[in-house]
Amino acid sequence: MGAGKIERIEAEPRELPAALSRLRGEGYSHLITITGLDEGDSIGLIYHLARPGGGVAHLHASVAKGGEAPSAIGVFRGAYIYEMEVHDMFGLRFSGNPHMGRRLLLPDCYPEDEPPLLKDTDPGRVREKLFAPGTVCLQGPPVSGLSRYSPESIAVPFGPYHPAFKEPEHFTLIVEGERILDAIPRIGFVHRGVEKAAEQRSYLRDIFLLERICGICSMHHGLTFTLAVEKLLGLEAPERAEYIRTLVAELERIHSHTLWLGLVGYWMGFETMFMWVLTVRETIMDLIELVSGNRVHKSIVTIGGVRRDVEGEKLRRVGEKIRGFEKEFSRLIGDILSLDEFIERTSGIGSYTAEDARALSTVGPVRRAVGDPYDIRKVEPYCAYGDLDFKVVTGDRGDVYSLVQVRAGEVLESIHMVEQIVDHMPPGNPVPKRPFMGVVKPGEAYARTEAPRGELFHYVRSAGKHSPDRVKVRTPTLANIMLAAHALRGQTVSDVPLVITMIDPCFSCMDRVLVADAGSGRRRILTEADFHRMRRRW
Amino acid sequence: MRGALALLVDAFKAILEGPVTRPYPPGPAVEEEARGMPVVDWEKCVGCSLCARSCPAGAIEMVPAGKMRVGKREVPVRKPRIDYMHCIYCGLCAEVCPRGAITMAKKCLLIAGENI
Amino acid sequence: MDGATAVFAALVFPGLLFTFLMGLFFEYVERKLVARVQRRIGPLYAGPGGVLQPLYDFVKLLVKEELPPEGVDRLYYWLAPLLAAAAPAYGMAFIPVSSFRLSIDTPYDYVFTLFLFSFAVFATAAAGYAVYSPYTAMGVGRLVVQYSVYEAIFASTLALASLQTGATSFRGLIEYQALHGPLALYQPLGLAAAVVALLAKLEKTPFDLPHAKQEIVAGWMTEYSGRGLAFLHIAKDMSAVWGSALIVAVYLGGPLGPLYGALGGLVDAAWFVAKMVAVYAAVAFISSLAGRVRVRGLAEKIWGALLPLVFVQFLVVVALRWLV
Ligand code: SF4
Ligand code: SF4
Repeated sequence: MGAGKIERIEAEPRELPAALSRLRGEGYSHLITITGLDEGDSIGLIYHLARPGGGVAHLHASVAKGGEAPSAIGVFRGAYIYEMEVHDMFGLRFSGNPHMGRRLLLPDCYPEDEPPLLKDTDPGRVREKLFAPGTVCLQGPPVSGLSRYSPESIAVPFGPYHPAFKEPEHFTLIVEGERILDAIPRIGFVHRGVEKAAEQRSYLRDIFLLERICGICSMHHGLTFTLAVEKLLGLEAPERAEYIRTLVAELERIHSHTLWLGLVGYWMGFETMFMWVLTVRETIMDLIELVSGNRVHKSIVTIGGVRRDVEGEKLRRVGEKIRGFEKEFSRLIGDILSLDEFIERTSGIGSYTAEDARALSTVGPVRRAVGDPYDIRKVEPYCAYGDLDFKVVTGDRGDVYSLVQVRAGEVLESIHMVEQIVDHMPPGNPVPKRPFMGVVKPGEAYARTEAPRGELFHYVRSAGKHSPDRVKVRTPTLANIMLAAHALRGQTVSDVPLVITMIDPCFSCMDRVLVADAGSGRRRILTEADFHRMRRRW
Repeated sequence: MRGALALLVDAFKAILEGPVTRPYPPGPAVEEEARGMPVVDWEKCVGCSLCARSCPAGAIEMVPAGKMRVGKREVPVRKPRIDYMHCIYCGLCAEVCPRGAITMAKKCLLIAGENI
Repeated sequence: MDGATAVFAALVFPGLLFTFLMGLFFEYVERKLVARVQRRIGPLYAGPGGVLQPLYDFVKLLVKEELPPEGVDRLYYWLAPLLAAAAPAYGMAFIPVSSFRLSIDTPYDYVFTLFLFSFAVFATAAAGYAVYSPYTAMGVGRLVVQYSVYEAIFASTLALASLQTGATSFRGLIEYQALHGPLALYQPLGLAAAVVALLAKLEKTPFDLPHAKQEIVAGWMTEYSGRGLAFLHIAKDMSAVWGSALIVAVYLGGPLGPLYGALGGLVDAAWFVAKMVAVYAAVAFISSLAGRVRVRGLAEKIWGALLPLVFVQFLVVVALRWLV
């Protein structure tokens, strides 16, 4: 579970909304994502739907190239962002979606007629058009006519480069004094063309490539992709390998959540808290290095197992250190959570309702903070989660404070899971004899895991070659970002950093797809003269 | 109030316990368990270029390395050279090499200053 | 007090030069202390223990390229940083750091301080208004709000000191304290309120709203770079010196201490500086343990918590006057 081969439910394009609402009526109330496929003459759309209690359905329809498909926003409010993505990447229009006129991921100057994920799009041609004289690639704020708000309002750009963001992202905030009237997000500043690039590399190399989608939940990307590929191959990893994967996955969750908890301090201007939490977190980083050999990109998963075993002495040290961490972490978080100033700055800030969270198809702690126990580890256990004893932490209010509580609670649960893994590591050899370098039988599979930020979804399609035919990644942040924009309305500027980041956004994860210049490897190197030219414009 | 007091205690403890960051230049830069960096031994290499083909980062370039005897004939061979600025230190090359010509050495490149 | 001494006081001691050097030292103290609280090392390499780091930073900024954005009001843009730095330097010239021979000694200098205080704020507000970008606009807006909130507190604590001592000059204050002991003994609440107001005046967390970097980048100084930024930074450090000096002079007995007057005023100066550093270290320590307040909670926080303190202090002072 958690992964499987895809069995399509076929539908005609014009029946899509009806078919979707029928499935919704059958309990498939969560839209995971929409995958686009280049099928030659037509573009395939796969709507991946999930039941909150487990179970996934895949609805497929083929639309002629350059045609139109009916929008699903009437059935799933959150669908519009996925439709925009397909529109960007495949040039398909969705009738009824009001956002078809603007770009989601691609830069505004990207040529209209070269959708990047079509198989016959040539990177060279795109490059020519992009660098043609006269192309201006400035992304202005996507707002026009501020007067529709009020004469006193001003548009404050928040990002792409801003001290509150670790990664580039843009929000146009329409503020009146300190109050936010509206927030309009614009993503896509860090496209690296990962999905396209994955089609040009072997499965083995893809694991490393996909890990680099994100520096924080890197292992989950490698893991999810591997789970899908293993399904295509009909392969099962040894039990010990599953345990080691789970171990690293949980360590990753701890380090991701503690990083976020520290950053909450930073975002509210309490930098000492940030430093203290990061001091504590260092233990986990050491553990990750101990287990996987690297601090950031763990690179431990491989097809059919893991790349390194964790034997006796190492395992003992993991158990020892994690207990030390638990003590320090509980003390520190206990101290911080009882601070009046902390409660005042987080409680009731950025509040949202369970209805919003469901309608916008949010995932992860954001969803759990309003009381939905939606956790893939529980509803569709993968790896060793079926054997472990843990509970899903939920909150009840949906604000920054309850998110802090949920994430802190999850860290404690993860610590207990790590302890269980250390105590019950099954015997055997988890490392496959040789790295997998063969071809994969034609077919398509999906996998989903519970990354630190929420449900992570990978779709892999093979055409019987050394490299996949299509890889689609839906990261949790993309599912949650609209909620952040929604929750910003009516807040004050003081709370913007906390509200935007309460979903624990990982913007680089969300922006993945652009034409990769495969092959030529040519780079544009800026010379000193270029810098001088650029400077003179000042 | 309890929170504020606990905070004060934490602060004094932090001052007493001293910094956790370490001054540069550091002590041993490589932890015992770190993956290390790949080092090629051209003597052992047979020039199969498996490493170059599987390197996820494309950091390995096969460069001409003289001739080698295959049976009676002398054929030109190419051997790997690793670009450490592209390398992601994953260790895959060491895993796939049939001759064990690449090993992961426990050292690292510093961006600035002396290598350790 | 002749003209030459006045110029010396304004430019060298305890005015510009002294304030400048103390400002750099204060910054070092703060950075080192905050680093230790945060379990970091802090400045280390420049000079012994890194003590020259603030100076290096200042010089580095001086030689950096300046990028004034288009459409700035040139006059204010250049003038504002200088005025901002001048206000605390001039203010320091009135403070009896060592003996009265060396500072400008007038009968109303204590009252004049209040004027300089608001002047310094308007210099920084001008810095923000010279450029019109969203961040500077919001920063200046917050600055003015914050000023109006803390100024009331600061002014009333100073007035309370005047009320008890009956002095309108620093000479009067110091002489009173020489007779009756430091004012902090009588006005601990006033001292607490003044320290909090000082935090707000120096824009330190929890009151760093005007340049809250996570929210509005650098607030009113977002568009400054190079020389202008260097002067703004040093102006902040110098205000820190001035603010702590005020508290020392008003509440902690200024240069008074054992061996007062020995070694031609050197001991006095040492006492004064030591007290100042202690006050500032306390300010930096408090600041490092706080998160930022929200704009909406600002007035409530400062007035709600401090006005009662000041009021109680007022009653105590009146009672004291009546008794003594
Ligand atoms: S895989 Fe080993 S033997 Fe083959 S080229 Fe690389 S280093 Fe040489
Ligand atoms: S360590 Fe990895 S990235 Fe580096 S050369 Fe070897 S295979 Fe390539």
